[in-house]
Amino acid sequence: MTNKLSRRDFLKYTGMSSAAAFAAAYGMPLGTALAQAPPGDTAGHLVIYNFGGAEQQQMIANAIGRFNERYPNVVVEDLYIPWPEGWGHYTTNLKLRVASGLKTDIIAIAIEGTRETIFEDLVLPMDDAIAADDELQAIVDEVEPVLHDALKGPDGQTYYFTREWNNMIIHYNTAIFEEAGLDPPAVDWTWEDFLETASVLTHGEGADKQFGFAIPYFNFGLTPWWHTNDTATLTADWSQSNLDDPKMLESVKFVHSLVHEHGVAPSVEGLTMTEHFMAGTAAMTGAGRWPFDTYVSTDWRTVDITPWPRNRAGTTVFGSGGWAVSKTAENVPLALELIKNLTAFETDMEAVAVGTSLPARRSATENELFNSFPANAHRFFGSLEDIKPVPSPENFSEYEAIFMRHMDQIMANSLTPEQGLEMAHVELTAAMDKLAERMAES
Amino acid sequence: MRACFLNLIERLRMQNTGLLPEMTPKRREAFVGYLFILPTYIGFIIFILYPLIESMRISFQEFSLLRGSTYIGLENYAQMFADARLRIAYINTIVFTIFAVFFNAGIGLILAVMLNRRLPILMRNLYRSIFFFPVLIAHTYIAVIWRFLYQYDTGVINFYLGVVGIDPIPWLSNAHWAMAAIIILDVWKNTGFAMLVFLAGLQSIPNEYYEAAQLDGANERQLFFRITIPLLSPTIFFILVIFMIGALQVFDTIIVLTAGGPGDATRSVVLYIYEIAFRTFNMGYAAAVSMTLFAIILVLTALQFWISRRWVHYE
Amino acid sequence: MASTQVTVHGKPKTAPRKSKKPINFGDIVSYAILTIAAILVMMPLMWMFSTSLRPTQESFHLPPAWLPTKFRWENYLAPFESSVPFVELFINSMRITVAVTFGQLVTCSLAGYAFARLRFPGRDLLFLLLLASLMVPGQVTIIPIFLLMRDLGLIDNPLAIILPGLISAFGVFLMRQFFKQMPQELFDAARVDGAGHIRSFLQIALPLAGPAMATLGIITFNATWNAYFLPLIFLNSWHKMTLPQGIALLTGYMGSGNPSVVMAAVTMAILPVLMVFIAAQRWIIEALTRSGLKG
Repeated sequence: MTNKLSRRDFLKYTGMSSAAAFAAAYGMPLGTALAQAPPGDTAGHLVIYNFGGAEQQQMIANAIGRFNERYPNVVVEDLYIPWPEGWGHYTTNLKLRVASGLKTDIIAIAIEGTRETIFEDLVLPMDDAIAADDELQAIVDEVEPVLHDALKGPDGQTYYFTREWNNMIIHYNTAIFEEAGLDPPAVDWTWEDFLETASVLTHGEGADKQFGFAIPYFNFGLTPWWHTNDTATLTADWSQSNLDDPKMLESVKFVHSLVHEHGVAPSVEGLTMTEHFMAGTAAMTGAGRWPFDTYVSTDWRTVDITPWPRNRAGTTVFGSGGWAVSKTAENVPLALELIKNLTAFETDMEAVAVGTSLPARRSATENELFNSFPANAHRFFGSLEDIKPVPSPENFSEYEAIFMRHMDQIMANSLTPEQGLEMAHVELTAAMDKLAERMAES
Repeated sequence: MRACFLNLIERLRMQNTGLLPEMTPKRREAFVGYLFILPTYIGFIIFILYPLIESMRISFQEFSLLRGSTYIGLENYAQMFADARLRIAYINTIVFTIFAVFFNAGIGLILAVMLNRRLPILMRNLYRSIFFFPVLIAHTYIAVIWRFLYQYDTGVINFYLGVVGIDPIPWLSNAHWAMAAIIILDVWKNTGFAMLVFLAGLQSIPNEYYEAAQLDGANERQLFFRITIPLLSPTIFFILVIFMIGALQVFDTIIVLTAGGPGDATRSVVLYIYEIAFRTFNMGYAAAVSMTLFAIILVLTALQFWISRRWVHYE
Repeated sequence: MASTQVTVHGKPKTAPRKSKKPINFGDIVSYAILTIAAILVMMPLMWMFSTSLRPTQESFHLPPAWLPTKFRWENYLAPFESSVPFVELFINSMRITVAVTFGQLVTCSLAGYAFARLRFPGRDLLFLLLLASLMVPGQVTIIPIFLLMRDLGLIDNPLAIILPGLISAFGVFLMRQFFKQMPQELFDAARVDGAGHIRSFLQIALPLAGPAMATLGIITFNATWNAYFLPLIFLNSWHKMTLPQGIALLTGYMGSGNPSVVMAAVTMAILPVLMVFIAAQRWIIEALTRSGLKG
């Protein structure tokens, strides 16, 4: 990417010829239909229910193109929700489709929505299909195990094949660090180190104001502060509130103090962290790989990444997405063949080029394209050594709304961290109890 | 094309083909009346009345899209009395409605009165367009801009407040200021519509009234309160009704700027309905709450019509 | 047309208040306040425009630049170079918007005329019932409407947006107020000439309703052009989406899109509305003036 190979060119390129070259180079079988795969002259119609940005859509269109080379008589329709306003809206729309009997064969969702779709019986279990199909087994084997396992159902079955993923990692402005005479953060830095660095980088007034850190203020973005303190909002099995954990209180107090005590972060007001970071009003922020797309397109290169600072633990957070076969799919083997294309190595390579998320296979990152920018790009996959998925219970939308509403009040100083967490704990406990009741009924 | 249509009608009438049957003038008038409202009423029944009745039905159910619904009588309605968040949402909505209606109508009226003074015609047209322009821009676009203006630490408004020595205001991160921020944005966006309607109303007041009063020695203030306000009262009434109905259903302005936060500080009733329906998936309860909101708006509007008889003067 | 207006109303066109006095202190104060207010109203929009022309890294500098400091017109090309098919989305939006606007003009003028000038049993009740529909919050009726569209086979079809848009209680209200203002003598004269109700509507009322139609037109055009919620639920195919959905794509995951490019896209999305407004402005003002909107 540094030598100006644009993403679009790359996509066109991979879309046409080099897919085969990549596949050959990495020893991938290309379109070798197994015994159970439908014959190439199969006619049909597949509908994908999908989400994401424009570049992902192009990526998926390319995968569909490769599928159509094998199955020229299958029409694939890619239904698309732009970056959903929240997963609640996305799943409601999906449920409306399915309840209305509208054709839906393949379902894409982020981890936040997997448990709900499994609970609502919208997707098919895949263990048997994987056992009977070497190609599917190979795809599962190539994906990082921690990513694959996070999408499994509570019963341990595989429902989703991993799409792309993102973690939370610290982005820092190398130019500002240099100017301040600071060394790049150590990979094992602590909360105290972080606070000290952020304090040094906070200075100025009015038009010259610069902050050390812009808080990524949304559920996923806050989670590393819980994980690096060896705690989380929910218990390990995501079934009950863990907000009464003293370690949660400690974490929330730390986040609160960044704004209100130490003043090293601007007050939290919507999703403005990328703007602050790119405008230079914040020297650091936290994100996954997604802003790199914009960094590259605006030719802004003074960014590197470093692991999240640790307190009791060095664990960060990830979220992944997956593809599943809808329970209402008419031709399951055909849908599975398309999923093979959607999760193929070529598609992973295109995800690398697009720059908004990380591919499911580590092997797709072992190339110049991925590692040229940021300099420490290897730290994305490096974070997998100590990582946990973002808690994603069956009632994710409700859980997220309850937690963030109280977090808002804490950050606005309407409630103290103690009060806010206690109230959130009561409300979340009731919601989780209700969920358990509903799950017991069915 | 119109001529062609008329011709056709003429011919049909001549031939009395049955499409426009021979009938008494009164019956024909009624027939044409029903014919004219037919397209609107077909749409009304299919896309408004039917969904409304369906929602009413859903409000008596424990509704589930995928698992089948069960009737639970008035349980959803009973639940409302114990819902503290609903109470907050109603209070927020009422606060918003009072301030938004007052400032939208008030500032709109002031701007209209000023524009109605003797101004160069180009200046009037230009300012009128400028004041009306924000009405035309989608909320989603506006929010992108205003979020930047309202930032606490690096926002434009606080920057200029700092220049004149005022402490920064936590526009979006304080429970009370957030409501103020919403109201300011709403007035910026919508007062132009009130201005336009008021201006039209002002321009239809005949000059003779003012001239006569001036001959009697009335001053500016007397002219305004004795002539302008009474003669403008039907327009004022129209604006109050339209803005009240809109404000009680406020959704767009809030969801794009604060999404109801911080906490529940700016959560309106419709925003709360949206949350129940699309996050908690409690469609039955959401329907019940929206039925009460519908009823409240209906009653308040009727009340406004009733009170209007005491202060609105028709010519 | 101008001459008919005068005769129709039987009184001269109302002009802004005239006063024989010279420019006084009050006028000066008004000029000053209006100018300040106009600048305040325009500032956010000027900032949007100047930002759309700047490199992203300079978007948020303080003090803010209200006028363009740089001219990076390539920000305006960026949306078209992205994977979002903007030209296609623009055409989709335009097609839906034009259909809805045209349909509403037909249905609302017909119904408005009937409620204003024709007598038939149940007229006032039917009108009030229609008006009450302004008070229904749209957030919950969406599910019944979705199921209805499913039954009609219209999911992911632009008709799912167009059909419910073809009627408007507000539009009927506006047209009714306008037709009500027309002098009865006009219609009496036509009646003497042997014109029926349909002919009175087409030949007398409609030609004079231009300004009201323009008002309704701009309001409908604007609302449909900006609609986001309905298309999001009903149109999911890449090639059927509308412009606001495309702009949502540009803003990126967690707001990580390039703000300058988003501003450029928004500026372009506003242009058609602005153009329609400028073209129709004179008519709108006239319509509102003449209808008087009196209860």
